[in-house]
Amino acid sequence: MKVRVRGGFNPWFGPAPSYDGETGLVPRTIAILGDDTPGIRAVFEQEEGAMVAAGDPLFTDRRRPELRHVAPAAGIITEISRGPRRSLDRLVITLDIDSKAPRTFMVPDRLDRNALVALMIEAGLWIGLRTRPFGRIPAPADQPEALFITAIDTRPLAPDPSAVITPRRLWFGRGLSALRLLTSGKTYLCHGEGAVMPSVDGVVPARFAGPHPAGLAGTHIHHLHPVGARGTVWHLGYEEVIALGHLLETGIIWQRRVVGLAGDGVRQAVLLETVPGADLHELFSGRLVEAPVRLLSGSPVDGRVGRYLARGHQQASALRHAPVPERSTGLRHAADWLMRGSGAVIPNRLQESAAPPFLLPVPFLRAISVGDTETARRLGALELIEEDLALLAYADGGKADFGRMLRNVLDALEAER
Amino acid sequence: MMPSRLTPLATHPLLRGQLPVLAGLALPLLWSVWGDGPAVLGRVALVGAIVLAWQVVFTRIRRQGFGLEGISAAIIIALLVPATAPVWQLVLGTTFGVVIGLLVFGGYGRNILHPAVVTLAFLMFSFAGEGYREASALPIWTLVPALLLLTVSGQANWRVLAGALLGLLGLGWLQAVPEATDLAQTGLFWLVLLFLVADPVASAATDWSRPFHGLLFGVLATLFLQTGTAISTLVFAALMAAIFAPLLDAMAIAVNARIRERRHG
Repeated sequence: MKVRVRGGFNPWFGPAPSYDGETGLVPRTIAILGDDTPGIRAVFEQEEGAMVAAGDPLFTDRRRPELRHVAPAAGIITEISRGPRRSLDRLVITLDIDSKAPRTFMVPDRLDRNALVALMIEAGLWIGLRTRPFGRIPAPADQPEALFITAIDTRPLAPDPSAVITPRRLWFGRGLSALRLLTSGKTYLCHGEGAVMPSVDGVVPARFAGPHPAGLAGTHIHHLHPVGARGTVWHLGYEEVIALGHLLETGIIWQRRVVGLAGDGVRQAVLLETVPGADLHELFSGRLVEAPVRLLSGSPVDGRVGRYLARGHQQASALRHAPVPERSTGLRHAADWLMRGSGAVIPNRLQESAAPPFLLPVPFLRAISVGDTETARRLGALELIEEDLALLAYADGGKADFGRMLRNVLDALEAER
Repeated sequence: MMPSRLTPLATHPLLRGQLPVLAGLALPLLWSVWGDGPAVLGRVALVGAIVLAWQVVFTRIRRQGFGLEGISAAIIIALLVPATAPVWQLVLGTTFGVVIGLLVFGGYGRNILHPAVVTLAFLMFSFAGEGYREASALPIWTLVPALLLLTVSGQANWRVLAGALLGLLGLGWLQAVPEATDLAQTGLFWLVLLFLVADPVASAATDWSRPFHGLLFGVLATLFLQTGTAISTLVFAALMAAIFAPLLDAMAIAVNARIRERRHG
């Protein structure tokens, strides 16, 4: 099956990086961020100072035991910090990889859905799944109408998924064939043009071509199995599939993730095998140019500024700060006047190409920016999550946080259900 | 699809603001100074001062910012009113236009009409004898930079322009109105079309309704042309088309929602 996505555009953040080869780096510290599972009410199973092995449970949600987080690698918990209203800010582990043998999980010989779900929850892999609509972590008892595996990445500067999958294709294939059990419907493997993917019985390959947002799960779901007021599908990133395959094959969790480091702030883009949640300062150390930069976990359009690699991110970016003029000149003031406005959405042709498929961007942005949930729903809010609007926010100058506005609308729509 | 190397240019906030508009207005303004003398600059200053004063009042109360859209509107108004227009009428007309057409809605981006259109329509209605329905001619070539700047920057959507030309020339041909073809060759028509009809905020806001908004303007212009002067025809056609633009948008939204409902359940 082949889908050519119309519209879209590739924002320019320098030439496409050439990630030659892959190197490894184990950082000194890693962190699990509260932002990776928004709204979690964490109940800790470990205390600060405890020594954990890879796969040991760290914390789970007060009401939803399936939101179980496990230690990605062995080490000592050095910091648990709380955010506002007792939310989790981050849990920092100082790694000591060989201090404890990784925890072994019981992999049943004959895998059925219940066993797979239990294993995924036990090994902290369930939290990689997302539902559409709403983009939440699904409840284990729910049945999705279809499952989407995203093995294509069209974000600017993103590494090619097949370069990550090919050396690990056995694990990827094993994970893929197990994931079919999650749904009684179809399992789609969405990949890019020219990608060599392992073929697994019962998994429908779908090839997507075109510029960003052709690689987003929202685009794939729109074309292959549209959801809205009725129906739910789940989606999952390719590195989670590799992690599941590794677990099934070896009985221990995959203590690594592959991440591409790129941007105009690095001297040479590099594909790095590291530990989930790695400290970005250590990953980028020695690779940056002699200029002020900011480090993002994720791509330049939808990444977030922070110190640690977020879950599910396959890239990290170092971007130079725009040069700040030493003194404000008259020309600078004039340019500022020409660029300022009332903060309202000003229509422009660019919005149509940056919009997700079949979305009327201007009415939609107006609806979410005033919190008109009903119009936003009619115009397709249920098909989208934050990442789908990132390109629109970039095209709009990045001043308005459309992702946050969409989340408010989705929260309201979810509460109505 | 645009080459990706050009995207920083296309997404640059300078191109999204009033720079292309002001640059596009430079040549018509120069031509006007050349032909009619520097009095037009005095009118720009007067109208601009009134617009700015109201913008400062409203944005101070609301603690908002504002850009240079008021200056663009002031230049367009100054270009299209006659040299004999009394000052008090300009003050009254501009006040009405900028307050009712722009500021009461919450500033640029939330308005539904272009303030210059409201001002001109108000002056033509209220002071019928003062020559507001006559405008000095503007050669078509003075609008070529504006056409390029506004379409390349994505501010004037080509769908509106194409719809307008189709409406004007199509109905002109059907009803045998030779003036329609002549009108399309004047600078005045292109000034109104590019800056007032195809203004990104005052025009229709979806790709489906934009051609119909242009078409409506063209058809109305042809109909009004048979009874009025060029400038009054264009301004009232622009006003009526802009009033109906939200309705066209609502229809596009309804169609989009209906298709989505059928497809997504």
